[in-house]
Amino acid sequence: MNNTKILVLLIALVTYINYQNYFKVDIRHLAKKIDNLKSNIKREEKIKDENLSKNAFSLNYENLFFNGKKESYSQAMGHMQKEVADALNGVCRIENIKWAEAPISYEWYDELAMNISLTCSPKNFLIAVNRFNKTKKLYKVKSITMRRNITKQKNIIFLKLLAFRLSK
Amino acid sequence: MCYNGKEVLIFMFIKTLKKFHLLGVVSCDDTSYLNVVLPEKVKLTNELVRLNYDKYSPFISPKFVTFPEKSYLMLWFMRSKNDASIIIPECYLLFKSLKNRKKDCIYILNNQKINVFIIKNNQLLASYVLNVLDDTLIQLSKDEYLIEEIEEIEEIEVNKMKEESINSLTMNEIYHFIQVNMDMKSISKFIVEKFTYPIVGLIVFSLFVNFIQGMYLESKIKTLEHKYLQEKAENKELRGYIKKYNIKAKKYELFIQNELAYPSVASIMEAIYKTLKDSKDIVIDSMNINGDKMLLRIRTSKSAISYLEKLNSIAYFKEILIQKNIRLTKNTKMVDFSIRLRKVF
Repeated sequence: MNNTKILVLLIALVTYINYQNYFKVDIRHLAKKIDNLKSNIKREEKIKDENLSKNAFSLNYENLFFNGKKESYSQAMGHMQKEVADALNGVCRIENIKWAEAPISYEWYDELAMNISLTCSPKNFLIAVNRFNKTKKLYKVKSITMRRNITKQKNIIFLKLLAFRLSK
Repeated sequence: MCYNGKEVLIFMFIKTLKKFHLLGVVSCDDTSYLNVVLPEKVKLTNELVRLNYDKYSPFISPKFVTFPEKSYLMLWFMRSKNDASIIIPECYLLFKSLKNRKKDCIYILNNQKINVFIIKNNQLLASYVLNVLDDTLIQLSKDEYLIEEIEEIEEIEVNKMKEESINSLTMNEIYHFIQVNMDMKSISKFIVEKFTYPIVGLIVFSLFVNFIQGMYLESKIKTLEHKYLQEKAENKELRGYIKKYNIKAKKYELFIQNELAYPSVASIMEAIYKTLKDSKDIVIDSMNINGDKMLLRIRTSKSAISYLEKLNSIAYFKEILIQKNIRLTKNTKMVDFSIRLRKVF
């Protein structure tokens, strides 16, 4: 056999294996990187083309919440009670209102709770709920118990009403 | 004439072999034929053929090619050395065409010289070449092999037969006429001799391509990165707004998921009213909603199951169970439904 040829073949194979193991350029990885960059550039160009102003990014629902910086707990609860009374006025009779002792705080808002007992027909109660929905603040009925009072032909309703306040 | 895919492939293969002079045809004049009768399933290696039959060759230290048939071996001694990797005797090609013509016949072929083929029972028993047609020799062959029939074929047809035979060679035939010794040592020698430079060339080429491709892609990445950073810098202000917007949106989304996940009391009451408004024998005694749980107590004279089906049609309700079913009077029952509410956000 031709020893020179064997030597050449051997050197070529060793070079190839070492190149594959240590120096080989990962074409797939580079192609993926190029694809990512292209999609990123496309995204940036799209943002630029849309020519958006600062106002397009406003997302303000803070008016649905009581403001913790402006209103103390009792002020917020007073405000809430007034709105409850206005909503129920003429449709349901308030038997009792009890404030929760303290607000429950979460990450960025507090929960203001009020226990209310009413005497009301179901139809009128729905009118009152619709009025709640039209108020500026967000109210949520956390729990409700509605019981028929046979003698008075009306329903007795116990509800726990929640409003939300932005933390201080 | 129709060819199937396999035949076309073989045809192309033979053409390629011919083009690169890997396939050579040795004329009948340069070969001497010997019919070797073998017991069935006996295979002779080249060494055994040389050892046993070299003595029958009219040439000194001859090269030979063989082709095994069912019960005999066709052996051609060659006058001179041929460098082709696949050597096919012209006599084999002619015999291939004549084999199935007649069972027993003496063929006289007007080739460049006169070829005589003696075929009996579709076997090639002997073949020889004559400069001039010798009737005595033909008569002797007839007597020796007990064959009556003689057929003479003209040169044009002979050439056509050769062409057809070579184009219809099978892979099995090509395999038997390969002249390369197939032991490991000779294979590795063959590879080193023939393929060292192509392999080295291929390796260098592939490394070069990979390297160049890498260089090109790296430079493209650099350009794109530069462009991306530029675009990003231009959109810095807008990105700030988007980031703030996303944070706020996420905050409100979490708030809705936590606080307003279940349907409102008004929606539930409305849905119950719409579902049960046609039912006459029902009075809702009480209703309690707390989180995702609801308890509905009704008084009715009908079956609780019929109301269960109706309540099941309300989209806000996920699971409904009859918790209590108590008979109050002869016609009146009190039914408690325990309901689990479905999330709306």
